[in-house]
Amino acid sequence: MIQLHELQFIIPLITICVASVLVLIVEVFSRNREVVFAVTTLSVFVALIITIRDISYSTIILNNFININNVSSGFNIVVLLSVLLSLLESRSYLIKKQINFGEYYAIILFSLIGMMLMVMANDLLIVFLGLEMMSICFYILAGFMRKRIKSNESALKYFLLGAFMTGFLLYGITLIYGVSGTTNLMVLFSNTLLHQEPLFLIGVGLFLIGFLFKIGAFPFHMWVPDVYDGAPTIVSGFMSTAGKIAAVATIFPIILKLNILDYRIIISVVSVLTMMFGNIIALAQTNIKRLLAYSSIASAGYLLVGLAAFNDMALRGILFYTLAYSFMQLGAFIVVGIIEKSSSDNKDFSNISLDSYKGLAKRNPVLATIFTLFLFSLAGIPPFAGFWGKYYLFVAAIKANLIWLSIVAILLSVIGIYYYLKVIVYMWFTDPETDETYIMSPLGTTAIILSIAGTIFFGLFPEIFFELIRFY
Amino acid sequence: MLEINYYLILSALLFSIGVLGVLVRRNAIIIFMSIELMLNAINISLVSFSSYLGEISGQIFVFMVLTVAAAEAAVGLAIIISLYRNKSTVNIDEINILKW
Repeated sequence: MIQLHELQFIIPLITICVASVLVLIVEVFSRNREVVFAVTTLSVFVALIITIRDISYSTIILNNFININNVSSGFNIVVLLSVLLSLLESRSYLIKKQINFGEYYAIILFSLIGMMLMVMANDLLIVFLGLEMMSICFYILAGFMRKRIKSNESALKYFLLGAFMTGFLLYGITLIYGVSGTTNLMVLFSNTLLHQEPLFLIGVGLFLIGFLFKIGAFPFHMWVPDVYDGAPTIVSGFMSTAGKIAAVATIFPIILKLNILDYRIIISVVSVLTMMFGNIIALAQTNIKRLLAYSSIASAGYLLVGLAAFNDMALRGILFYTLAYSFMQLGAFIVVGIIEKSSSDNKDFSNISLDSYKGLAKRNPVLATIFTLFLFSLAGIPPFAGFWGKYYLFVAAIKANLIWLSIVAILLSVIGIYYYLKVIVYMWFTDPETDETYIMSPLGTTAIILSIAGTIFFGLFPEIFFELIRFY
Repeated sequence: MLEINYYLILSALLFSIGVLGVLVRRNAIIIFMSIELMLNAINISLVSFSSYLGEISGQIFVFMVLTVAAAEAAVGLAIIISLYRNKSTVNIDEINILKW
């Protein structure tokens, strides 16, 4: 039975649910996009505050379907933060691209519900439902510029591949259910006899494949650059941070607690190949969105290093890297969005080639400095937050006796510095080709200030985040 | 009553046909139908496991899978329609602006 008092533990989730329905109603009856935007942003903000306040809750509620503890709340904080940051910049971008519809905000909230459910899930059913809620919303968001063929194409690719991989994930869940007779994760974790069954292992493998696709890891990464390139820029930023973080946050505790050591070697190999692929192909990119997409594949590789290490230090690393990643990756995408929307011709995705970054420092030194900081953080240069994220992950790998893995990871992230520096050289040491000026909306500026503050603050004081979520 | 293996083999076969369909066919709608076939194959094995184990949650799961498949169908067909409006084709070999 569901007890009424259990609902107090999921107030953030309820807030978002109510707000998403409210947004739809307001959109239908008044078409007032200011109200819609205000309700959306406010509800995400309130949910964020309440999640931070209730960080110490640790309980399993709602018929053992939802597991709330400081780790899941920590991941929820990161997800909510990245949704909030992308929402702030969304408005001016959507207006400029003439797609400022109320559905956008409702869909963002629906996908947020999916992500939060997935992160807190204690049952494979909830994992599946949350994942699908998130993914279906992402298919729509990727094709949100429905008059643009590039956006259509990216949505179709994402949809067909995503639905295809969902099939494998579900087959995995079915096999797990067939062998164990339950979908409850706690029971699955505790029943160690099951972990030897071949059918169970195949099931977990298929389940893992479904998630590796969502994270964008090696053999299943081909959709990432295409989808991020075709989707509206702010949506790419949103998908590459919030979506990826939620998927990692869901799969990590499952892998950690199932403790099937055979998977360690597979995940290590996948992570090396992912980092290699992301970092090396990114060297050849001349389109900034694709470059960031490949860099996000490489980041998925770093997160998989933590997944391969599976110890408590790795959980620390993944938590911190996702936090840093949501600030720096989203910040970079916001800057790309600002430069894209300032383009004088409003054609299909103008201003996203690296050429439009030539001499940016001479035209707009503030924007160039900000972008440089984000790229430094993505490259993992101290003292920015991205450095500590990688540091924790690689230390975790060393502690798990995967020294070769951490050495390879460090070498590959050194290769990664090259293409970030390439963008920086374009901005600072070449002459401008255009004299476009860049419009920064007040809300977008707020989002940028928040991300830059987060990148620097958590770079200087990384431990504060762990104190905030009471994770020692 | 048939043994559970027959149901599982049927489900695995249907699933494989679905996977093959996705890999071989070039029409977006047929690919989408193959994906639906995969999901329904999974439903068969979920129901048979549920009946074999005498445990109800597998059947509940089937309801959820059906719901998700319906939602996916709505979104997927909408995406295919909006693509068709712009490009007048649903052949995925001709949809190739985005590469590398």
